[in-house]
Amino acid sequence: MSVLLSRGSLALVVTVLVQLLLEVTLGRILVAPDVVVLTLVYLATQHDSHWAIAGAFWAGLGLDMLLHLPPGASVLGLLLGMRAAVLLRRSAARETGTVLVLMAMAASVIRDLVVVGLSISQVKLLPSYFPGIALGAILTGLLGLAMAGLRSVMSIARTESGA
Amino acid sequence: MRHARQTDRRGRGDRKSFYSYLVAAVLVLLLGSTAISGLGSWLGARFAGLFFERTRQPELAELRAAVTELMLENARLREAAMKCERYRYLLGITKTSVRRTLAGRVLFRREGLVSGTIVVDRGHRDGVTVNTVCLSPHGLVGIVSEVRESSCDVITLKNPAVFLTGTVHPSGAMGIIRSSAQGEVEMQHIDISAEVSVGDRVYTSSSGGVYPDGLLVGSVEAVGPADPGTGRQLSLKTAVNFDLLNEVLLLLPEETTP
Repeated sequence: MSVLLSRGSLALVVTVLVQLLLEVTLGRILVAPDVVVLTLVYLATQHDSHWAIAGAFWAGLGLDMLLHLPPGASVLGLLLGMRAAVLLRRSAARETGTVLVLMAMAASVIRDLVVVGLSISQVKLLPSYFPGIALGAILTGLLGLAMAGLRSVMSIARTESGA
Repeated sequence: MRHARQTDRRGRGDRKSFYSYLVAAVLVLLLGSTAISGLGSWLGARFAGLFFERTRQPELAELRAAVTELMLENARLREAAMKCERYRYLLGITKTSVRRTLAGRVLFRREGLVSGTIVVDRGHRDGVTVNTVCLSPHGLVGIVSEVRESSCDVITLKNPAVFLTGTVHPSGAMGIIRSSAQGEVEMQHIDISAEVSVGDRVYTSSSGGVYPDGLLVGSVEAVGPADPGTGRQLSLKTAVNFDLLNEVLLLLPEETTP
């Protein structure tokens, strides 16, 4: 369990750093996908939904500090986003790749909405950020699809090698 | 039956854990900013000497003061030139501002979806107030949106919250300068009969009451089609590269001038 925990923590720390790099490179040109959300969804589905909550809090705090966002904005966004993702997972009949992608997209949209809402000075400016938020969710979804595809290929390969 | 009970217990535990983290998140949101800026101010006041001792050497201090003076003089001359040209038949009625500038260091910038905010190491104690105009040697940077004891937030022209009136030189056409959420700076509501072309320079106008006349905003990058209803729209290339800003000047309000 402790090995699992430390591996998960390490993965989360690396993902937060990757997110920072994406925000300062791709984010300046277009929009950066939410890799933190993807990792949290993956950890929550693979291990425990505790990851979706504790991981969201600490990853959000790290992102706020690194990206100089108002402290607590990403924390709140990721917590609410992951809560929505967990509820979506519970309401789904089966845990398929599509459900995982939808979870990541929902969490990404909620996180971005909360962060933008807490960062801008005028609420009337919020709609102008909707295209960026939608594009971010689509990019996250596409990355999630690629990851889900890779995971199913790997599980098939593992089954075949076991047989 | 046991499985269902276990799932229910786990769900309740998750919910409890979620609410406790949610309370922690709200506390961070409410108090985090104050705590971090307080800690930063205390550390800055306590240990600034360790890092910035060298800048207190008299030669550097003199050079810094000279550069500030020259920048100020440059801004005044530009303003005077604009006014001279516009009112060349009415010389004698122009008024030159005597506002004082304050040099500041850029501490960091905000990243993510909402960008276009920089934090400068000058605050209340230096006489900075909300709506203080921020500029660099290349032109207008933006305006102060929030002031703390020893630092302030400057929203740049790339932030959609910034609106200002501007004048295109040499045609004299006036319009409203604002930015889209993607950070593209545009000038809107230009008179369609005005002769505006690519490369024309755009300066601030004092019509809005916040910005002084004659600060360089940028140049015209593209001229949009003439729309009889809303006028012409121009795409602007800002004179300042906001990613490379290290030092800025804050144009203090007149009442703080000694």
